[in-house]
Amino acid sequence: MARKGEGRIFTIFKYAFVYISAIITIIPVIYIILCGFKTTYQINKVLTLPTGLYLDNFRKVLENSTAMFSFINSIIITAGTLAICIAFCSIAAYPMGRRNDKIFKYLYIFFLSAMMIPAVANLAALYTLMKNIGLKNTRLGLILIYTALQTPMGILLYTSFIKTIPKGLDEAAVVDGCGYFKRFYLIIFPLLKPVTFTYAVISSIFVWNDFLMPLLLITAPDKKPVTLAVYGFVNEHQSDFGAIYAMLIIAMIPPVLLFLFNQKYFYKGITMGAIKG
Amino acid sequence: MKKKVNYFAKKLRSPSALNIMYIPALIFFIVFIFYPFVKGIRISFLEWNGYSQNSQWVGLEKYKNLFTDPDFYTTVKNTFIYGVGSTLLQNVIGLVFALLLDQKLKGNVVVRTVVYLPVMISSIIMGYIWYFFFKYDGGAVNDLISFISADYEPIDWLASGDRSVWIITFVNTLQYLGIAMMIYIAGLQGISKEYYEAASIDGAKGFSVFKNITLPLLMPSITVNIIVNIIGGLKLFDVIMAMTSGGPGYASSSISTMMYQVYFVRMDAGYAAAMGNFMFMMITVISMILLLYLRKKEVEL
Repeated sequence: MARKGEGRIFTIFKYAFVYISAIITIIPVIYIILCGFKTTYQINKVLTLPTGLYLDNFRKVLENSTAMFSFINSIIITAGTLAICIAFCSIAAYPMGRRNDKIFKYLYIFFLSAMMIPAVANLAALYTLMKNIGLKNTRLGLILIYTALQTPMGILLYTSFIKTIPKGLDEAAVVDGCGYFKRFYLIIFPLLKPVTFTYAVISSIFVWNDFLMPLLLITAPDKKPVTLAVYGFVNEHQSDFGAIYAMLIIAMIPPVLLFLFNQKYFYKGITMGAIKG
Repeated sequence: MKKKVNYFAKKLRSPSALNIMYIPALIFFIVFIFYPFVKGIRISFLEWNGYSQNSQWVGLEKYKNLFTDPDFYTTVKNTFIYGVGSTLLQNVIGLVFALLLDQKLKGNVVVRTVVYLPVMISSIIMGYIWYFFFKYDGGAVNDLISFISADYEPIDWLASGDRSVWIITFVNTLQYLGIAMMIYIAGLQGISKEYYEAASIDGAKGFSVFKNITLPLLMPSITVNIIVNIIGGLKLFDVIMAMTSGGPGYASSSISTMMYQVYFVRMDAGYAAAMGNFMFMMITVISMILLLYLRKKEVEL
């Protein structure tokens, strides 16, 4: 909207609104980060700044084995989910993006319709299922569930991307002598790199941040992912706020870093998923 | 048997093999999403503690309980506030942000990053962060107000269910504001400048341009945002667990958190499953009605 000469007041108001609201959204995070470096005495005085680099709070977290294990667990779970999701969704979406047969159209709708089923609504049945097949309290169990939960998103992103790749490239691939799967993973798959990356960053944030599934399925301290470890840590350290703040800070570092260095892919994924869905 | 193996081996080497590779994805999907969904319907007809081998068929009793349980009534009311409240707030604030950031504004990119950043942080962590703000004893909000005015009596913000519900709605809104904002920004960038030029030639300005051009052309983004936010809000879980655990009692519970309590604490698997199915129906009906209504608005252009 090109509106000129509407006066300084509007401009000032505009800047004030944008900056103040942006600060409100981020101030709690900054506050917690500052508090992480305060001594217990200083934490009780809200308006003081940390006086030096006080690291005792962080030491308490690093000494907590559940907290430290949880990072390894989260990495294993996230990486495992991504590997299966990418391998299966890309190849499953390939015919859906290429062929016009009715079956692929129905499959596509079937996959996407499940985006409506909230995982939490099935918690009773899901819990029973995981217990019965012996996957309760395992990282593998979480990986498999997350794979299923992230499948619709993967199908959606890959299908819409494959539709934009010229068909000539497939035919070039056919001329080559190798097997069909090899052909797919060697020739088609590299072309999907942009969407694979988008899918990977979005899914990894989802998996890393999910709290419900671990809460349902994991009780063993050495298998807890980060979110569940945070939950346990807060309940264990009721009054040691410094340690809690430190734990919260450490837990939010990985996704925040991933975001800051890959912003483009996040925005692309959000708008791509949103517009098609 | 041997013949069958040959058949599969041949099939795998044939060009159509790629076309059946949706099967692994489909299996995951059926086992972990579709099967629990169907199984949940069966469990909702049982009197079962969730662990023992014995269960008893009670028909529709669990569903009847839903409609006579005052706690469930509170929970449904809260769930509506979480869903509708966050959707309204996120869309209005997100749209205002998008409109302002779409113009040339100093610090544009920084503001965008800052507003989007909380989306990246796990909502259980965000919930705790805000919990330490609103906490009674040593919470930042109380300390800040008592610093400003000396005769301030600290309030236990999260002690009252009604207030907690709105605080949680506010927290959820602030965290996921960034998604609405980004979708609106993408939508605004998709609107051709020609419309605005034509409008300014016709002498339209300010609000009338917004009402007659921006808003109608932004309808697809509005649809997406409303549907995404309402589904997210109606199944809210993490933030509530961090801030109040649904308490006091069920005063700030959503259906999700109550379901968790009922299953793991009250050990009434049938009741929890019935709630889950109710929730699924509620989300489906609400989002379908909204979707049809909003899509119709899009067509009317």
